[in-house]
Amino acid sequence: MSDLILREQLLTSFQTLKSDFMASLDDAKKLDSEFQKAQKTFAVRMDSHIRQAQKRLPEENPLSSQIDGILSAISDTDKAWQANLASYDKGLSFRQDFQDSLLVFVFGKVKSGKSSLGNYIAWGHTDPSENLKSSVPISLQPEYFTAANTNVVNGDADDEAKHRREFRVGATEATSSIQGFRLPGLTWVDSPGLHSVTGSNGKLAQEYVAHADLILYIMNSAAPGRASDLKEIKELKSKGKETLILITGSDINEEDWDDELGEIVTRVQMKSKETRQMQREYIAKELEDIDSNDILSNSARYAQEHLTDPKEMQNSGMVQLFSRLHSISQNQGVQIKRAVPMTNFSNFLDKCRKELQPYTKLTNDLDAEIAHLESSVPKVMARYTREAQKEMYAIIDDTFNSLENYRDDDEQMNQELRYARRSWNDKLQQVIGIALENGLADITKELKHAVDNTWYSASLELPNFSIEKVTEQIPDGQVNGTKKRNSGWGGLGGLVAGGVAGFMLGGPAGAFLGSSLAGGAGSMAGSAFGSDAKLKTKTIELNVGDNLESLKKQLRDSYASVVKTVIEDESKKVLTSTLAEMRTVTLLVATELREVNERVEAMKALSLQKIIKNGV
Amino acid sequence: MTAKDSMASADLDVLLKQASDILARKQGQDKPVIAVWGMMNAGKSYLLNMLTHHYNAEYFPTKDTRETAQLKQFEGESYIFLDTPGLDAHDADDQVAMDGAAKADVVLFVHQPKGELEKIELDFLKQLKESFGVYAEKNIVLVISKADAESLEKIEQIEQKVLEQCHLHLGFAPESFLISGTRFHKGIQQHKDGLVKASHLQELKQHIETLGIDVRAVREERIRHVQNTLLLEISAAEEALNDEKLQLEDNLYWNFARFNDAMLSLDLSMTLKKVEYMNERILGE
Ligand SMILES: Nc1nc2c(ncn2[C@@H]2O[C@H](COP(=O)(O)OP(=O)(O)OP(=O)(O)O)[C@@H](O)[C@H]2O)c(=O)[nH]1
Ligand SMILES: Nc1nc2c(ncn2[C@@H]2O[C@H](COP(=O)(O)OP(=O)(O)OP(=O)(O)O)[C@@H](O)[C@H]2O)c(=O)[nH]1
Ligand SMILES: [Mg+2]
Ligand SMILES: [Mg+2]
Repeated sequence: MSDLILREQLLTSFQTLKSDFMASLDDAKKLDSEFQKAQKTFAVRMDSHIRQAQKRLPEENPLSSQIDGILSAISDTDKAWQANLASYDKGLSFRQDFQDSLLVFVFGKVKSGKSSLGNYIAWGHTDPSENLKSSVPISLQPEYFTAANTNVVNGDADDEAKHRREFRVGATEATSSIQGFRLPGLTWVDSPGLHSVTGSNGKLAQEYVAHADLILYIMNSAAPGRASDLKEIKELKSKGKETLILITGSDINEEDWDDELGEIVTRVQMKSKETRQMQREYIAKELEDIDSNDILSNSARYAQEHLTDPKEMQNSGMVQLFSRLHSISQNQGVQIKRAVPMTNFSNFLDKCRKELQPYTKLTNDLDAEIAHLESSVPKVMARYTREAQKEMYAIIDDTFNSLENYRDDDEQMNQELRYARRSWNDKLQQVIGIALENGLADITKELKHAVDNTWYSASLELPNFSIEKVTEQIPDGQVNGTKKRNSGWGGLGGLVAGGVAGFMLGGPAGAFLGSSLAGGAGSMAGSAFGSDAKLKTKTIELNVGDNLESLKKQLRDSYASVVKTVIEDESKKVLTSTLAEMRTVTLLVATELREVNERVEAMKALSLQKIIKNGV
Repeated sequence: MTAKDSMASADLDVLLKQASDILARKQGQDKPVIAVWGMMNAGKSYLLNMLTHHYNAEYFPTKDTRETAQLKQFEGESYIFLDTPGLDAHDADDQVAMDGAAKADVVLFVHQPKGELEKIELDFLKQLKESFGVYAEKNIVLVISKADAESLEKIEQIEQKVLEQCHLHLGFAPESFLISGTRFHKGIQQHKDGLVKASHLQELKQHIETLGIDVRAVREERIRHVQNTLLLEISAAEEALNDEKLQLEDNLYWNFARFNDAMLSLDLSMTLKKVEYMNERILGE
């Protein structure tokens, strides 16, 4: 058979397996470093977006402290998210002995030849001499380890296999510990004879069994298929473990009498093919659901006497064992195992992807809330504008009621109008202030509310992260009251006053009646109260006479229009544009998230591709 | 009656049946029964073929897997040779092997040189020893078989270990022989004295001769032992039954008057059985 291989070839194929394992680990690590880069870029960009936005916040803007709080909240959330991500074990390693190689666990009754077989695999000899060991090239020198010891009588001393670099074998010497050796790509674990396994040792044995790619169940040809063996095998099989049944020591000593020497001469021979076949068939029959061809008969003793003779090596049954080990090393189970780090990383990416979702939701919701608020500013302000206008109408109407008394006295009328102008001015300033304050109070309250909601509904699962703490740093809505009036608006009071004063100064006192408010008035106002003020100046042309009614109407319209314009302009400048500014940040963050999400998706696809390539 | 009740009385029935079997055994066979006993595939049947001069055709079939499943005997000139199934071959075989051992006057315990005695072998040996009473030390003989399978050094090492185990667990070290049936066979067939000698089979034969087995005495001893054991077991079963009865009576006293009647009849049948057995025993002796 062409697929029959010798021990050296088997060990070489395990070396290849080892490099396959390493390559797979490398792939996973490479992908991880790409991930880390993406994560870093994301973190840096997020940080810079937030920092820049914070820098841009105007100091005197009444929304500034709130927006600043929101930005800090985003920043804190991001940091918590990053920290959480960093806390995951990505599983970018193989567990030594259990995962980094083909794991063979040897099981069987006392003195079935378990340790001898292990020695044979490691050194090509059941009881290797120091000479033999030193002749083995470094790359194929097995590295021994010893696990828990059972302290059975005649058992090996602690760490004996490690020190002697071979398993204890012999007529009455027993293995009492779980022990093993590693060769590149292969971990071979030898166990104490069945039923001598107890306690902690048993637990370890179970762990090895659980992780084993192959369980070699060994029976000796001298007593094959004992009832207790069969029971044990059935139990192993029921666990669904890949199990290979091996009938070791399938040899006999052929004896003859040497008359000349006067002593017996012996020669190790394999048991006849028929006998070996019969033993396999007996076991297969007793186990019911097993093919006798899946059972191997062999003899390490015979094999080691014929190591250079391929035909006899095949006769020894060892070659068949090597082939079986080789094919198991190529099977799907081992391939899946090889992909363990990549699979772990792929699972990590899934987790990351999953956690990006609430993060993305948070930013999207926040953006939508702010957009909504931004669009609601004019509506809110319109309501307060109407209230302010009503108050202006009332005071103007009052004045005109009293003016009735001076219908015949132009001088007096003029005088009264000048007085009234001053109190209208004051009133104008007052009502605009109140309107803006009220509008601001509403908007900030709604903003706070919306932002809190967003965080709560995002259902971020971040340990060591308190939503309360994060949203606490966003100030509450403005307290709606006279005490704090104007505090939120900073220099706004002067601005409004300037605008109104500009309008009233538009008409020189002497020219008020029967004259017109000159167009140049606007520029005067502008120079006196700053460029913004010109927006609120108004040119009024009047002919004072008997037309009090029309004058009143014009004044009412003019004041109403100033109220509307000032409130509109101010709220646009202070509220709408700040909210829009905030939205540029949320949009940037959303973009970053989308990009990072895309990269994670791409990596996930790549990892799956690698797993499939490795795995099936 | 509950299932438990009927079980207890069934146990008792088995014990009583065993007792009757022993008493019914014919003492007439005067030839000592030599039985081989040991783990499956140890080479028991092969050894008997050699001891009974079946060199060309096997009388006791052998095989390199489980073979003997029933007791089989060969009546020789001065001995009856009894083959028994191997232990730990099949669950059902173990009981047959036990029955065989019970019939033997001498047991050749066959152990092949794969390490020392296993726990299961020691457990069987302990029972065997008990049943031989004072004759255990003499009439249980240890055979290390397949001595050709390992170097003499290893074989001797194993023998020493096994004897130490016997000493520790049985309280005596039996006479032991390192036997190779195949060596003997070849020696006989090819007339090679060296092989015959090195098989140590003749020494084993001689040893059996020198035992000078007093069949009657051995059997009396074994029967006495079985009787004692049985009596102990019967009393124990009886006691257990009584306990059970008392408890059931207690539990059911108020509710089931009929139950008391049933118990009364059980009581009666038990007493009858006991009387029957005691009678048999006295008559038998
Ligand atoms: N004839 C023969 N004997 C063998 C072979 N391999 C091992 N043996 C012998 O079998 C005996 C037991 O071998 P070990 O390898 O120590 O057996 P084990 O299963 O490890 O024994 P424990 O550790 O006590 O359970 C030794 O005397 C070996 O020399 C073989 O291929 N043929
Ligand atoms: N090398 C060697 N093989 C032997 C010897 N005696 C028996 N055998 C072989 O061991 C195997 C089992 O022998 P049996 O005599 O059938 O063993 P057994 O104890 O009767 O087995 P069961 O009846 O199944 O319990 C056979 O293949 C025999 O040929 C011996 O002295 N040396
Ligand atoms: Mg061992
Ligand atoms: Mg037999």
